[in-house]
Amino acid sequence: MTTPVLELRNVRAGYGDLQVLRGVDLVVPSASVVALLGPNGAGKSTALAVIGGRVPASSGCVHVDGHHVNGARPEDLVSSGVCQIPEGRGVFPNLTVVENLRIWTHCTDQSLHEVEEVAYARFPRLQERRTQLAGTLSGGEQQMLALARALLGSPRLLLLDEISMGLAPKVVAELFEVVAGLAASGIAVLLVEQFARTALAVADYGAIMSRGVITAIGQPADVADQLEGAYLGGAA
Amino acid sequence: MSAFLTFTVIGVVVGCIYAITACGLVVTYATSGVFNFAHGAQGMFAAWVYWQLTVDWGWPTWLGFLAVVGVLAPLLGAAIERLLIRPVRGRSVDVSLVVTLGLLLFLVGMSNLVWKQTVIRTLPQLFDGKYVKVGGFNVSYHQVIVLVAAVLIAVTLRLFFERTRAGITMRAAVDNPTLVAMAGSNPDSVQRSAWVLGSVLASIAGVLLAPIVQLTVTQLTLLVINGYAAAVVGRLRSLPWTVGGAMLVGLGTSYTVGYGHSDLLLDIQLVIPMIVLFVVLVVIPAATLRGTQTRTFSDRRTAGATTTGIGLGALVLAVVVLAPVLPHTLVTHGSRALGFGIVLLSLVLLTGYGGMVSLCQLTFAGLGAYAMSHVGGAGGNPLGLVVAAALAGAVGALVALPTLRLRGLYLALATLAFAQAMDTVFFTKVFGSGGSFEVARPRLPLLPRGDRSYLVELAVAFGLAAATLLAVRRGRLGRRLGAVDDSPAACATLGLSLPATKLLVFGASAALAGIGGALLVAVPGQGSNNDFLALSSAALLLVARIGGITSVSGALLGGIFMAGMPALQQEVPQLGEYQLTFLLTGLGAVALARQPDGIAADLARAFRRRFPTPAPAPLPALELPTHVELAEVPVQEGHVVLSVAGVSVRFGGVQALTDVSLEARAGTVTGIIGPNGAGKTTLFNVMTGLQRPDSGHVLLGGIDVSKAATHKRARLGLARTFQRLEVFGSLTVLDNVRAAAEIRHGRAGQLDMAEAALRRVGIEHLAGIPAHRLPTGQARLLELARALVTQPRVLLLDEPASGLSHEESLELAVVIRSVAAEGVAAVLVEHDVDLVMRLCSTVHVLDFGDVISSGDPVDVQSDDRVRAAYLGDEAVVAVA
Repeated sequence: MTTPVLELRNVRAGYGDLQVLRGVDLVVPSASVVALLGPNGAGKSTALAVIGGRVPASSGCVHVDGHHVNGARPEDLVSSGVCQIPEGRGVFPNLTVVENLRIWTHCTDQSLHEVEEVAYARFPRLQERRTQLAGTLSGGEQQMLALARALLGSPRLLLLDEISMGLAPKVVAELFEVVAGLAASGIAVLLVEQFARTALAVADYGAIMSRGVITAIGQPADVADQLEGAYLGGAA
Repeated sequence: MSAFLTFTVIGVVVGCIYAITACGLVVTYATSGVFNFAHGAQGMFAAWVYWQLTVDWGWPTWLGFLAVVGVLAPLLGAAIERLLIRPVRGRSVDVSLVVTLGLLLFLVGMSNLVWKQTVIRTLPQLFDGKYVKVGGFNVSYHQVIVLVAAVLIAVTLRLFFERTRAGITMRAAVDNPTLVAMAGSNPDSVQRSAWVLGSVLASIAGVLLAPIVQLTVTQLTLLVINGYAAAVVGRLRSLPWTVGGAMLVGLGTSYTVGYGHSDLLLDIQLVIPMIVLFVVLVVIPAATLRGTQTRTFSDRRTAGATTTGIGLGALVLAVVVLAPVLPHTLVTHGSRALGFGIVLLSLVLLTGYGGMVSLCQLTFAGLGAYAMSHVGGAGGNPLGLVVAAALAGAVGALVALPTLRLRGLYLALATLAFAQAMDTVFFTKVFGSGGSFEVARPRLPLLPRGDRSYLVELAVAFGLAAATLLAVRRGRLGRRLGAVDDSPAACATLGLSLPATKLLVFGASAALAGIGGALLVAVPGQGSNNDFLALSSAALLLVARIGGITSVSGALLGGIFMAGMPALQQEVPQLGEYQLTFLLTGLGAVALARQPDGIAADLARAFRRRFPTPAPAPLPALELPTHVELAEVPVQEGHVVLSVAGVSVRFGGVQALTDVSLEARAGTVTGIIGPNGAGKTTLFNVMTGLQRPDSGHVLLGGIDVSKAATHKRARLGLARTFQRLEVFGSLTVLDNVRAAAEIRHGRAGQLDMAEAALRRVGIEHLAGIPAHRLPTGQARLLELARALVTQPRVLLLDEPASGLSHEESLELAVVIRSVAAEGVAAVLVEHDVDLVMRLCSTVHVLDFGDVISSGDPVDVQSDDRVRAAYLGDEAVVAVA
């Protein structure tokens, strides 16, 4: 049994007095896509923040590739192969596309030129907008620029926090195609999503989170039944 | 023509130097959020070290330059970032600025100590004596070098920030340091690099400027304050605009000197930077009221009336008893200590209670002394004190006026510029350079004369001022100041006009400083313009902080220090004037970085450890009627109180809301739900006034409030709660609601209204507990009580169940439903769909800025479009 790329064991975390994660157990096997679903306030973003080193876990362990990463800072996790794309657009809005890419070169040994080649090959639209401010790109293009970071430096784990937010369904479909492609190339993906069904369509496993714990986990088909109850409550 | 060219060249050269130093300021501010008040002092220090190396020790120029700019400056910049800036990251402006102020004073003190100002030294210009003929007149090599250097620096900075990863990362760190970390860079390293860069720029400016003007300590440091105006023109973030501003100041000054034939113009030349600064401040758009970031709250312990009475009474008694027996020097020092203490009390009011910063408090003191000198006359007419307060207060109000809508930092800049301008123009003009003026002690009839009785009078004056301050703190204004300090956003939603409150406090503080100044100068009876220097005001603020800015006893400690230092210097004359004060306060700055609440806080903590008070009781559990079925609370639909009609909003290239309409009726609960990014927050902001709609209207009780500001809507009956709690953390639960009642209904006290509101939501048993100790559930109820006490017609709730357990949210729902039943129209934005379905009589579902479904909760819940919106369109299934 190969070591999972990511493992959370009984993780608790919160902000001040507010307890958000109340004992989370989660495993992301290598080269698989896991969709973390659930209503707002359930703690999905907090879970990603804990994995990504932005919020400390008050108890429990987080392992990446078998290594204990509790307390690591985000910049350290980059060298452990973790690429995280936060909620909101994961780009710098006041910098141009090429300037954003130049910052991404920090994650890899490649030169700017090589990085641009790789990025534009996958996302040709970005090349047209090379000198445009990232904040003026459409939502979908911004997410593509953010995802370009996952193409560099061979990350082991990609953390995606609601990349579909505020985007039209067609654009969401495009983005998830990209995510599926990344997974096919061997990167494990943990994605937090509101649009559950769209996420489950690309996922190998689904996990439903509610009020700080994982309440269901399994194959997408099995998990789909429990979705409406979790999200809309009452009579499903 | 040649005169014009000469002045232009001079103006441009000076402008270039201001540009170099102002760019350094902007770089460090933009990357760390800390304004480096010591920037000019660093330049001055670099100039002096350069002199030491190249003139005193005879090093070759290039080596000296390299040593200062290439070795000393980077080391100093990195050390400053590590020791002073990083520990205070995230703290409020009045903390972070005193740290750099302390550094400023330390560098000034140390430089004065090492290079005594008794001997005049000059730094020769580079290639001194060599000129270039340009179009018929001479431009010195030094001037050419300055121009070339400025151009080179501008080009290099541009290349650095546009082309290199380090520079681009620095710009990125301004926007989003977390994302910078995620991209693999350590944000701390980025900040350190920024401060190294800033330090290098400051040192270059210092080395280039010193040969053109005089090589001095204080004047050179303060000259750089002229650069602040340039940085403000650049809004503290745009380098090109900063350079433009620098040229404006440089040329403006040069032309005024060159063409100014009257004395008046010559004087105005000295204050042009201040004028530019104030003009820019008036023009800058107001800061938006963001909610509070994570803040630490401390309990505002104010001693009760009896304790105050006893403490201050004991002080006065002690003075009365000791006055006849103390040696004369101690009587003088004690009097001066009390005089300073009164001036420091004005800072306790302004900074400690009001959270604002003033770097010209001694200037106000000087104005007060001036008024006393003229009105009080030789006989000491007490009317002089009244005029002193009035004059200082009025001037204070004028100085603060342009900055009221802006961030606190701008007030600090404005007061510093004002202090410097007054130093160079007013006090020197009125008293002559090195001149002095007489101030008589206020004579009240029947009171004995003489130094010892004056000491007692001062003690009484201090006691009265302190007691008044403490009474204010306990009373309505104190609550209001606490509220404004804890959450300006919440105050605006309660209907408070922040600028008016700030103006009042600043004016009152200036007036008190004026009185203190008059009384202080009357101790020796003679004052000189050296008593009110801008740098001394900076030292005063620092001393106040170190002593403990929120405490009256801290003011007394500070006063003793301010009076004691010169006395000590008299004993140790080698140290010279002011050095000791500056050095010690400078070192205090480093200590402050570790303990921003000052010595008094440390002493109080030690005292409490020695005499511990019992641990605070655990909070009583919430007592709400459980299991009151929501259905039992009747809902009576009334008329429409709030309506949103055809509202559209577009920003950042995104259509956030498209033609959204909804109504809220009295007596009902309306829910707004939708996925993330659907526009709920934008709609909420349109209703509360934080966002103006591009088209459409918002009507409150029939009145169009689409363009009305938040506090105006509050006055029309709109109340709101916040998703990220905005309780007044340092006030008690009861005072939170009292402050709201007072702001809304005007009269002081409002005790019964406040208690009723607490009972309404069921937290009356928590009345005496400081709000920052409340867990989320109870804090949400407090926000609700605070909103209710304003007797609103419409209650807007922003994710009220956020952070609550299931049971807590149901309990909250009961309260909301019953509040609505009394006639309020409640509107809530929520993610907890289950809660909304139970609580609301009408539900609107937003998706991509459109209302996709409205109506009865049951109908909405089974609407296919709603399901698709939340769960993802069935038709859109990406194939892997």
